[in-house]
Order: sequence, then structure tokens, then C-alpha cells
Amino acid sequence: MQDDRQTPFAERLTRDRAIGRLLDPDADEAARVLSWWARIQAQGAGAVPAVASSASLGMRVVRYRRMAGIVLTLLGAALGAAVAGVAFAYDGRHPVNLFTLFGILVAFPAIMLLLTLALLPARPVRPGGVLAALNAARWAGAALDRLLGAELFAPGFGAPAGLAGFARWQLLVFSQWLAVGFFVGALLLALLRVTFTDLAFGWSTTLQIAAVDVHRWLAGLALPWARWLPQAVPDLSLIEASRYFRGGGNTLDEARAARLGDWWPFVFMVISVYGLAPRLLLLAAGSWRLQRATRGLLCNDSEVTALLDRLTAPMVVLGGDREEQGLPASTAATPAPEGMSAQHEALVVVWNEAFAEPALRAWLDGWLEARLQVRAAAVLALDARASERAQRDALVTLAAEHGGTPAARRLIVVTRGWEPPLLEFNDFLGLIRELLGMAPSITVVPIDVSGTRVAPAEREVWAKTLARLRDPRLYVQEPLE
Amino acid sequence: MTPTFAVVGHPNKGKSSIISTLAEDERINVGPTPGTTRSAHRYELSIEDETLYVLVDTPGFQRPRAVLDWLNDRASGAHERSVWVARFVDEHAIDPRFHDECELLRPIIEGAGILYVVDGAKPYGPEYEIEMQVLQWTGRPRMALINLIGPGDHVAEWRQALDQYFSIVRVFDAVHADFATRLALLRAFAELDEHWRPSIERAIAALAAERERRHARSAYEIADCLVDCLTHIERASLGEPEDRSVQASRLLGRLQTHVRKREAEARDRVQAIYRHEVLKREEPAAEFLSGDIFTREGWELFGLSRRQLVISGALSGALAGGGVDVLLGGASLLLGAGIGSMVGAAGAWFGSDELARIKVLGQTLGGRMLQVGPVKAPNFPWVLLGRALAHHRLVAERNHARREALSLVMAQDTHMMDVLDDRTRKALAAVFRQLGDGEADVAVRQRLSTLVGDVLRLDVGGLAPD
Repeated sequence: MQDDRQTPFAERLTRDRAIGRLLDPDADEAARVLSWWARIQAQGAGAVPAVASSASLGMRVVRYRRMAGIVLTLLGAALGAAVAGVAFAYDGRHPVNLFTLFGILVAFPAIMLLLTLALLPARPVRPGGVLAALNAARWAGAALDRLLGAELFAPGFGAPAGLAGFARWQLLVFSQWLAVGFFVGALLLALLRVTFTDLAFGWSTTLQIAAVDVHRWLAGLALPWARWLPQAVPDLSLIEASRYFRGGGNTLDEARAARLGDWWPFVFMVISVYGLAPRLLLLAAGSWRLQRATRGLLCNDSEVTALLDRLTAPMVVLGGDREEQGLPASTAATPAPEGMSAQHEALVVVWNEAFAEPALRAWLDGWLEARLQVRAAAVLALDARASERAQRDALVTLAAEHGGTPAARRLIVVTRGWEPPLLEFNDFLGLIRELLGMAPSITVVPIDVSGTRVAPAEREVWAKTLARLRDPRLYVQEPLE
Repeated sequence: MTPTFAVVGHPNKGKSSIISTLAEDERINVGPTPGTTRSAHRYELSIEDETLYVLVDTPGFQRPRAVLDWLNDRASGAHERSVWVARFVDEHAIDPRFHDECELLRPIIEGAGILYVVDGAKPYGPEYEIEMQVLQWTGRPRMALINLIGPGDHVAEWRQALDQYFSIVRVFDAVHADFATRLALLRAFAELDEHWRPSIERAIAALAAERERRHARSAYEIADCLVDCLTHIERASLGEPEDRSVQASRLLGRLQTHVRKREAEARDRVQAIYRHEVLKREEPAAEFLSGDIFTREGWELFGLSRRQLVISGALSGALAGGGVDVLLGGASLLLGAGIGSMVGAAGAWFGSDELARIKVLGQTLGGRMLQVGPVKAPNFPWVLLGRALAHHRLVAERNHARREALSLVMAQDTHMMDVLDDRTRKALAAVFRQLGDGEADVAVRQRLSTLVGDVLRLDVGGLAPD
């Protein structure tokens, strides 16, 4: 998804919404993200790699998780077998003490289990604190992280949202694989011992405990399986027969030893039900929570949240069909103004009622002399609403009256400078050339509302546009200040 | 039929600017040279592949006088005017002389409504009546938009003329129009033809929802950037003791680079969300925004003032100290809160010049590491937030027709964070403290995102050309 950042946002928006429309809207978020991922892979779209690399972090996490689970289970099994080897030690003189056996294989692990459960709701260990330094699980997580080259199982300061929860449940699952391995190893060793050697079990205590009390306790312990496995429930006579005192000096005779071997189904069931089963349950619960935490890690990631938004938000498209190319920039030089001092008489055309101010219209002659240093032999003020035909007629009349006079050698066209030149203005200039020929110079004077110079940008528009006509005697002139 | 609006008018009166604003497309050529738009282009607003309306950008009139002459020569009565307009387009379809007129009239005779654009900053000219008459001949529903290009004000005289030819006349400053103004204009479009109203109303609702989504997406991106920058640390194996200060300085440099990069990324993302991808990151901002984050001037402008910092620190300290008072059941006579506030205030006052924590860590499997970060300077999160807020304002309110560089206009001697009310500032301070402690869980991020969303709605100053 980080790679997908390289794909332009608009493209991702369109692509993801298109995918989103194909997905089941009722599917949960993780399922939708995974479906999106599958479709992206199928399309090979954007910057997302078509296939997840085996060297990618995700694939390495999967691989290391699996490996760590197997290694921990085997390690636990070896540890369980070793501990069970000690707990089931029987030299033929004294039976295996059930209290010691259960203490090692059931009570101690149960205390560990309770501690684990008690600590589970606690907040994650803050990185860098004392607890973090003392936390063995965090050590293991740190070792795994070093293998992975990422901060996942021992998240550091300011780790991404949900990573702490993910790491906690992952470490719990790892520890339960170790514990399950431990009990499986212990049970396997016990099975081997029971099958291939003789074992005798007994109980011994300094306390004044009657056999009947022990029977009551053990019957309570055996309640879960008493109905369907009665042979794994010790009876009172067996309990009475199993009490021994090491100081008694009596070795076991054959019949008694055989009788004391009857404990083994009960021993198996106690280890299985009170040792192995809780660990399996915790493993299952931990795996479920881990799955949820992994899902949370996915769905709470900012990239994924943004993706879900893109998958579901209605696609609002504002778009054009294509980009406008525009006209190529004119390369022609801006015409230089012709010197005006040599001639003082000219024909003047006022295009499109260029003088917006009524006062200026009244003072037109004065303006022409002051601003353009010309005397108008004739002024043709064209009605802005006039038809093309009417304009042509007016120009024909002007040409007929003044053609061939000195004034006709120079034509000044005053125009509204803030309006851009239209093609109909070019047509009008063409008409002047048609009627008066190429000899007269034509000076176009774009003016401002107040009859003064227009803004440089507006002047440039006029100059560039008229330069396209490539008329060598067409100029753009600014009025004098 | 999908509501279609042909944007027509004299060249260079802002037709393309209006399209650019409404279609949020900054690629559209907007320029002073006549002929910038050479052919008609369609810009659609669609939701889930359903087109709700279409805007058609057209070239400006070039020979309206000749067109009207042609029409006047042929049509004898009002009843046949629109037929003759259609015939004009048919007969001149391949005539280069009337290329622009055919391009602009074609969508209208195909059923588009007319949006006639004039520049209200320049005086009214009688020659415009020729264009208006041509448009009147089409018989299509018409609206006039008085655009404002420049400082002049001739709106009143334009109105008088436009009212003669158009049923609706609106002033719409394409370059400066904000989102609400755009929606108001769309509502006016619906008035042209009642059959178009449902589509336009849906479009307005969709645009408003999209606007909210963009806002939320931006808040999320900014919050994400804040979390990253406020929790980022740099580590390296510790070398010889005499190298420690050199190493610390190098790591500090790396941390600063990371913050700069992350901030730039967040800005790119926010710009992409608002479809301002063409906009250069440096462009909208004056020096104060494009300048480096780690400068004193920037910190003074964007962050909290020292007084606000001290108050914020005191409040945070009081909260922490108050916890002790609660534990002691009030037996401490609120001494915890008092001391906490003093410590917090002092920390904010004296600690504001130091950028980041520097410490040496012992590793689990031996070796020692030098760690720099997270940034501890109390003003740092506020500066980051202030810069993000300014950038968001520039991007979100920036019009797609606006091409010049912009900056924020703020009153003198004000801080960006002055806009925050006490409650928001306190809530943000609490989140920043949590992040400073490395608590970046989902709840903290969501809280920050919500707060940033609230902050983004605040008015931090107007936009003006740079």
C-alpha cells in the first residue's frame, strides 16, 4: 500500500471505487481489503506489485510465525518430557508421589497460567520502561524483530496503532504453543513409562489427612470425566492402599505395586484436563484474539482506512473530455509605433464607440491632438450595434471622400483597449486594406475608459493578436500621457 | 435529458475560469489572449457513472455581427428564429470563418441552457447586444453571469443591459468564489428549467457530501502526519564517547529531515484530496509557509505564544498532579494539582528551546544505542498543526481558476493558534502529551483526527494574492 502511494490520487480514487462496487457491501472490512488486494494483484494495477514478494515483510512474518510455533512446540515437548522424566522417576522402592507429581506438572503450570490470565488485561508494557527490560516475552519479541528487521513483536515508542495489542496476543499464542508442547511431551513420556515400565503411584503427607478426605478431593477433581471414564476415578480402597511413609522401610510387594499402578488413568486425565486442556483453550482464545488484533492492525492502519473510504464513498467525478491546446504563441515581433510628428493629419475611425465617457466624445478633437498629436481630417464614429454591411458602407463613403488626400495616407483606429480584438475587427482592417490599398499606415490605438493608456497586459494582447495579421504597415500605438 | 449548460460570451471574460472553478479542473487554459479556447469541451459532474449535469466550455464570439446579419437576412418572424440559428450552424459547419460561432452555438441548439458570461469589472459595451440578440434567437433558457476580472465595478450598468435579455442575472466572481458561492450558483442553474432541478439538487447534495469527505480525509492525513512526527525517533549504535555529541547532532538532523519529508508528504496528500495536484507545493505559500519548519520565525507565527504555552503546560501539569490528589482522596489539599501546574508551566517556559530528547539506551542483548527523539519542544506540535492548518486553508479555499500564488492574510502580532478556543487547546494538549509518551493507539489517533477536523473548520485568515 505504501507503493500504491505512487499512483496518483485521482487514479486510485477511480480504480478503488470501481473495485468497491464489485465487492459485497456487507462483507467485513478485512474481507473487503483482501478482495481489493486480490483484484489489484490480478490487474497488476498502479504501483502495486502484482505478486507479493516472498521477501516481503508480510511473507517473512508468516514464515517466522510458523517456524516459531513449531520450534516452541518442540522445545516445550522436550522440556515437558524432561520435567516428566523427573516427576515420574520410580526406582521400585517408593511409589511416585502423586502430590509431587501434580505439583510439578499441574499446580505450578496452573499458577503460571493464572498469572498470565491476571496480567492479560493490563496495558501493554511501555517501551523503554523498567517493566519492558524485565519482560521475557518482550525479549523474545525483540529477538524475533531482529530476525525480521522490523518492529512488530516488541513495538517501540509511538508504534503504529494496534501493534501493541497484536504483539501481546502473538506472544501469548507463542507461549501457549510452548505450554501445549510441554504437556504433550509430559503425557507422551508418561505413556512411554506406563507402557514400557512398571509405575506405582502413592501419596504421602506429614499432615494428618484421612484417606476419606483425599478421596473426596480427588473425586472432585475427577468430576469432569467421572461419568464417561469411571476407571480414571480412584476409589477409596485404592487411596487407602496408596498411602505410604518413607520411614516405614517397607518395599512394595508385587501385588501392591500392581495395585498402585491403577492410578495411571487418573494421572493422565488430571494432566490432560487441568494441564493440557486449559492451555489448548487459551491457545484457541489467544489465536482468535490474535486474528482480531491482526485484523485491527490492518483495518486501523491509516492507509487501509483511506482505502476503505475510497472503496465505499460514492464517486463524484468532475472532469473534462480533454485538455485545451490553445493557440500557438505568436512569434511575430510586436509592431513598433510609427513616429507621429512628421504628419499631423489623418483619418480617424472610432471603433465600437471606443470613448465610453460622453465628455470624452465631446472633446474628441482635443483628445486627438493632445494624445496622438494628429489633426483629424475626418472622424468615422462607428455605431457599435451597426451591422457589418452598415460599417462597410460607412467606410466606403470615407474612402470615397478622402481617398487620395494626404490624410488618407494615415488611418488611426481608436478602440476599447480593455476588450480583446475579435476576428471581426481583423475583418474590418482587411476591409480598409481592400478599399484604401496597402499604402496607408494603420495605427490601432487601444485606449482605457478614461482615454488614457491601457494596462500593459491589455496592450500586449492587442499587439500580439494584430501581429498575427503580418501587415507591415499596421501598428499598435499608445496614447501619450 | 441531462442538464447541459453552454458557457458562452465574448472572448476573455472568464468563461474558462467559471468552468475551471465549477469543474475543479486547473488544467483548463485560462489566459488573456483571445482564442485560448478554440473548441467546445464538455465537463461533466457524475456520481457513480450517472451524469448529473454537463458544462460546455466554448470559444468566444468572434464575428457576432456577421452571424446576426445572416440571421436577419433570412428569418422573418420570431417563430422561426431558432430554426435559422440551427441552419446557420449546419451551413457553416466547415466554414473556418465561423468556426468559433458554430462551436458555441451547436451545444445550444442541441438543448443546452445558456450561461452568458460578461466582465462586470469593465464598462458595458453596446456591441455586446449583438451577441445577446444572437443568443436570444436560439430561444433557449438563459442566465447571465457577471464575472469580476479586476478592480472595477460596472455591475449596475451591466445588470440594466442584461436584464433585457436574460431571465436570471447573477454576479459570480469565478476566481474568488468559495464553495458556498459555487453551490448557490448551481442552485440558480436549476431555476433555468424545472426539469433540471432534481439532477442539480442531487449534484449539490453530492458535492456537499464530497466536500465533507475531503475535509475528513484531510484531517486524517494531517493527524497521521502529526502522530508520525511527534513519535518519531532516530537510533544508532553508540560509538566512542567523544563521538556522542557528533552522533546526536547527526541523528537530530535525520529526525528533522524525517519531519520535513513527512510534512511535505502530508501536504501533497491534502492537495491531491482537493484536486490541486498541479499546484506546486511551494506556490500557494509565501515564504512563511514554504519556509523550513525548524526556524524561529515560523515557530513564532504558527505555534502557541509563550504565554499560551505556559498556560497549556500548566493545565497539563495540573491534570497529572490532580491524579495524585484523587489517589489521596483530597487529603493533599489539591497540592498535587498545584505543584503539577507549576512544574508543567516551568517545563513549557524553560524547555521550549530544546528540540528533542537525547538518551543512551542499554540493549537487551548488549551494546548501547543513542536515541534522539521524540521531539520534546512544547511548541513543536502546535507549529506543525499551525502549518498544516494554514496549508489546508490555502488549498481547500483555493479556487481552481485561481492561478496566482496566494498567501494567508493575518492580523499583525497574531499567532496561528490564536484561533483555538481553550477547550480545543486543552484537548489537543492532552493528545499531544499522550503522543509524547508514545501512546499512539487507535483511540488517540481518532481523537486527534476529530480535533484536527474541528480545527480545520476555523477561520485562520483570508486569502490574498502573494
